[in-house]
Parts: sequence; structure tokens; C-alpha cells
Amino acid sequence: MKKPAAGPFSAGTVKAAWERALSFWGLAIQKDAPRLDPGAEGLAFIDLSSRELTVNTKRLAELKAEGSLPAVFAHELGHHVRYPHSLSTQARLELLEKEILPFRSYSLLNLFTDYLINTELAREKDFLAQMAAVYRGTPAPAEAMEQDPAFWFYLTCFEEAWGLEPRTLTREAGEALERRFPGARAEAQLLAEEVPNLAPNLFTQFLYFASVVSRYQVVDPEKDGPGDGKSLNPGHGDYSKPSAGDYADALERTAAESEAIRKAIEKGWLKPERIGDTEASRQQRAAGLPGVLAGEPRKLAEAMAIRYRRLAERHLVPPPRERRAGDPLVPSTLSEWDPSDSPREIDWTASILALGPDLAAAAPLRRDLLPDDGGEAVVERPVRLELYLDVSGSMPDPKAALNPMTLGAQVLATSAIRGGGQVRALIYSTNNVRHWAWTRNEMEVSRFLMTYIGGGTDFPFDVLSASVRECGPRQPIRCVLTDSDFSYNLKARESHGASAREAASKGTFVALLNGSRGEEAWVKEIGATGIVTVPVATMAEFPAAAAALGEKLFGTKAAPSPRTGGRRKP
Amino acid sequence: MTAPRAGAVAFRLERLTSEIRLAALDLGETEPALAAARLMDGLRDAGLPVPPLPAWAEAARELDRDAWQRVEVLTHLLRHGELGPLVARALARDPARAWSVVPAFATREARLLTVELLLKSPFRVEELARKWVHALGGTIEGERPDESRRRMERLDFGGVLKSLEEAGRDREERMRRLQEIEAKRLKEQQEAYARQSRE
Repeated sequence: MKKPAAGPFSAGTVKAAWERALSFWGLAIQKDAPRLDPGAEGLAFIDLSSRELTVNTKRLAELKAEGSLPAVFAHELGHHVRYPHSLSTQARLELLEKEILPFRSYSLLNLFTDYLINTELAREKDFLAQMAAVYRGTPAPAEAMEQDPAFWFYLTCFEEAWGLEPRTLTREAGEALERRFPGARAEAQLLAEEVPNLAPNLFTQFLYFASVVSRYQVVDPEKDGPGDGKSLNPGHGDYSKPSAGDYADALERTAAESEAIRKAIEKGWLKPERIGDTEASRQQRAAGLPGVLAGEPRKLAEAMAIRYRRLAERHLVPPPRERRAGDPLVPSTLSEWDPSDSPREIDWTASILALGPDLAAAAPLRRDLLPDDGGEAVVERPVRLELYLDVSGSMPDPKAALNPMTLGAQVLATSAIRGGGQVRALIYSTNNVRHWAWTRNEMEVSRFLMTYIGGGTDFPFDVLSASVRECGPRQPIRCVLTDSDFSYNLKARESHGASAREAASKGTFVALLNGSRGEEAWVKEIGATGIVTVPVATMAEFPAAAAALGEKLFGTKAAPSPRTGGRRKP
Repeated sequence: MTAPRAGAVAFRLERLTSEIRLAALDLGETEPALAAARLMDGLRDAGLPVPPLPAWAEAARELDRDAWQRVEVLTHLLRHGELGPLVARALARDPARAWSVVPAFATREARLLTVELLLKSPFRVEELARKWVHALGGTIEGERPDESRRRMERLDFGGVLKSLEEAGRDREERMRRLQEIEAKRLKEQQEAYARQSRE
């Protein structure tokens, strides 16, 4: 019989290491065995969606930490079961970090989650020794400190938390750190002492951690800002990134996050001007998303599109419902049967009981039947909505911050689609971009509305005229969301006014006008063309105005059924 | 009674820290007269002399609320558990001064270690344990005296606080610099944006 191959990565060793890691976390989870891949990027990686775990055996050997396989497995599983546990929490942490450390070129989050996991692993002496071996495998000349002081501070925290002799892990780099950052060891000790006390609120722990570790970010004098040094942490980038949906969810703070921020300000870890918990800071959080998703424009657009769709939901009204008459099936009162009635309507049992057999035979009674409750049916009013959205330079990029005008367009589009209608849209500034095929796909429209051009404001009257011609007898409802620039566009050429008048005469053409109370001369000029003007005093009122308009345009005025308790927003 | 001598009593650190934590957890509202009475009982039970009343009154004058709580914790170590005989033996090496070690330790070496801190931090519990062993002239099992001294110094909360002040000054300076850089970058971005809009 052939003896199984021995060695640090033999099947038996890997199986034992995996079982040890699973048992550490008390996992009854059934997980696939980890993948060993000497060509993988980094030391290890866990995909938090598929929960697939990969370890780079070549890298582990380079660190001279082949014996640390159980701890590396346990560490990666720790990302799955504890920190950050879910990609939605990770997205929240990323946005919170971007708010408090807006220009950090690399994230402290991996260090933070690694720190919490390793602190738990250190409860077992063998894991502590194995993790120490991984970190000792990282070369630590004094110059390495300059590249990533935060990493060496993080290792100093372990030396303190684990009761190791000073510089066991940090070596020369640790010495350099303590010279360059006076009091670093004391701070490390305090951090090691304080972080566990702040559990279980992960956000509080993170804010404290970041407030201490932020001191150790590199300031590159040549770049006159924080350096772009690559993290030296061997565990850097060892778990997957959240999805667009996770980021969209994270744009709204949870109570735990708000509590963490309140505590951080109270304790002095954060200056109130750096972050607040007001409406303004919620917008600031949305503004942090492009930074978090730098280099991932599609994901950014998708995340913001999801965000707009969710916000639009709050303003939507369910389409009207109409009672549907059912078949006459419900027995009700008795009345005299007439020979002209159908004999099938005679209720013989009731007749005999009421009149006796003789009289019943002579003058039977009929049972009146009432129609069954047919319930309600959604009445589809197939409308077509053509949207024109002004995204000139005076409007914020909808991906960078919440743009109420874009949200208004989203509300109108969703209202139309939910009402059984079709939508097409155009966004314009100096130029324009069109999604001109009629669609009933909400996602398609919301993704398109994330487009931004910026620049001047030129309403595309040529496109409007072409649309009027193209639609012939079946004109769509046209809506433009803009401001006073529209009146300048209208007056710029004779043909513009004619184009607007033609569109308004052949179909419904509505203009939602920002910065208007309805009485201004420019609003009246627009109204004179036949366009229905809807004044919107401030940008923030756009979603509500759009919802009210949607209600009128798409016939959603009917009260929701009391039986179904239909959702109806004020 | 501070430097370990030949034949010094050896304490198991783990046991000592666990007893301190329990004592801190059990502590209710401290009544000075009762705390003093309990300490005296402990000394008597250990066969150690109790101080004359004026001497005790003089020593107790320095004890504030936090220090009385520490006296209670130390009395617990003397009177309860398997550590009691070891503490008694260590104190018995200089019987005449034995009683005074407790208030002196509570007001000096352990001055910053409040019970609240002990309940929050295992580091501070270890610091109290190491300092108490040092005050008793004892040793830590499994450690060389110089090693124990180094570890005690490293855990010194007073030293940590002092270093933190230094760190705080350095942090302020760095943060000020970063804010300047941030403001400069923001200004540059705004100017670039304005230029782009004009073009």
C-alpha cells in the first residue's frame, strides 16, 4: 500500500488544518474544502458571496509559515463568520471610512477586520504562534516603516495585545516606528485595551480604531499629501468587494452607525465638523461613493441607480383599482317566482319550508342571487412618457450626490411603467444623450438616468419636433425637468417656440420648473406656448412634485381599496 | 519590601489576575470603617500585628474613595482563596510594616488603577497584579526577576498616559498638516472645476 505524501500541504495536513479552523469558530457550516493555489494573488482570499476560500501556498512558503495553514484558514473563515461577516456591513464600513478619512489612498478596513479576527484567534496559543509566524515572515528593515507605518503600528498592537516582547513582530521597522511616532507603543497598548471594550458595535470599534491608526498614514512630502504606498499587510485584499446593491443599501445609515458616530463625537475621536448625522452628512455619504468605487464606473452607476429606484418607491402611488363585478352566486332573499322567471331560480327547499308542500307547489319562491365579490382589478392605462432631463452644469452629477431632479425623473418614469406605460428618456445639457427605444424596464431607465453631461443648457428642440412627427396620432406625454434656462432656450430661435407649441398642441407637454413659484414672467412665457407649467420652488421639492404630477398624469387619483389597504403616500 | 530576595514568595500570575478580577466584580459600595475592619481581621487571621489606632488614622487620611476600593481588593486577596496564605507569607517577611504596605500601595503605586478600569481592561488587572507582587517583594512563577520588572514597567499606566500625551501632541501636528493639504487640494479642485465650466 502506498503511503500518502507527507509535507506541509499534503491532503492529510490540509484536511486536519481545515477541520481545526472550522472547529475554532464552532462551525457547523458545511463548506467546500479550501483551494490551494500557488499562483493566486495575495496570501489568501475568501469570496464572501460564494464563501470559496483560496490559499496561496507559494506565498505562505515564502513567508516561511507553512505551518500556519490552520490559522490562515481560520483567519479567512473569520471574515465570513465575524468581521465583516457580510458584504453589506463591509459596504457600510467603506462608506464610513470614506467620510472620516476622505483622502486616504488605501483603506484601513482590512487592517481593522484582520485585527479583530486575530484578536479572537489569539485565544488559542497555537493560532497565536502561527499568525505571529506569518507576520514575522514579512521583511522588516527600518526602511519598510516608511512604506506603511500603519501596518507596523498594527503589528505593535498585536505585540501589546498578545503580551509578546516588544519588536518580536516589528523588529527594525518597529524601532523606526517608535522613533518616528513618539508614544506609538502606548497608543498600541491603549488600542489593544480599548477595542474589545467597544464591542459589540462594529462601527464604534472601527471609528475608534481609525481615529488612532489614522495618525500612522504616510504623508508624502513630494506629493504633498497622503502617500499611495501599497499595504504591507500580508492579508491585504483577502476578501471580496460588495456588490452595487450592497453599496446602495449602505447609503442610508443604520441606527448602529448613528450611535457609533454620536459616541465618537462625544469621546472626541471625531471632530463634529468632520462628520455629523444630519441630512447634509447623509448627502456627504452619497458623495463618498465615487471615491469608494473609483475605477469601477459601472458599479457606481448601478449602485446609484438602485438608490434612485428605492427612493422613487417612497413617492409612488399604486395604480387605481376598479371593482370587478362577479357572477351571481351568492344566495340572498326570497321572493315570489313568476312564470316568466327561469324555473332554475326556484328554491324548492326554502319554498316547502316556508309555505308547506301544497302551496309551495302552486306558488313557489325564488331565491335571489347576488353577484359574487369580484375583487379588484388593476386598470392599466397604457400611457407613453417621453422624459427630457436637464443635466447641465448647474445640476449635480447624480452619481456623485443625490440629484432631486434626477429622482423626480425616476419617480415619473417608475409611475408610468407601474401604470402599465412605456417610457423613453433624453438627458441634455449642451449636447444630449437618448435612450429612445420605448421600454417598460425600470432598471434600464434608472441606469440611463445616471448619465451626466454637465456644461451649458440647450434643450433639443430638433429632437422634440422629430418625435412629434414620428409619433403621429399617438403622441406621448412629454415632461421636461429643467429651470429658467428653458425659457432662454425657447426664445433663442423662432423655430424653438414653434416646436414647443406644436408638441403642446398635439399632446400633453409638461414642464417642471426649478426655482419657480409660478408667477414669474419666464414661467408665463413658457406657459404661453401651451406647455403645462409645474412650479417647483426648490430642487428638494422635485420628487414630491413629480409624484403629484405622476398621480395626475397616470390617473392614480382613485383612492386605494379599503379592502386591500393599498399603499398611498400623502 | 519591594526587591525580591532569596526565598521570595512566588505567585502564579494567572491565578492572581483572576482573583483580582473576581474581587473587583464582587465589590459593592465601600464603607471605609468596614473596609478597615476587614483588613485588620485579615491581618489578625494571618498572625500579623495590627497597627495602633493613631498610626492607622494617619495612614488612612490619604485614602480617597478609589483607594479604599483598592484596599478592599487587596484585603480580598489576603483573606480569600488559595492566594491568601501566599500574601500572608509575603507580608510576614517584615511583620512590623506589613499593615502599612496595603494603604501605601493603594495610594501610590496603584494610584491610577481604579476598579472601573480593572473591570474594563485585562491589561490594568495584570498591571495591578505585577505591582502588588513587586510591592510584596515576591516573584512571578516562570519569570526571571528582570523579565518581570520589564513587563511591569511596560504595563505602567502612568507611563502609558505620559507617552500618550506625547503622541497626542504629535497627532495634533500631523492632523493640522493633513488638514492644510486637504484644504489646498480642495481649492485646486474647485479652481479646476471653475476653469472647466468657463471653457
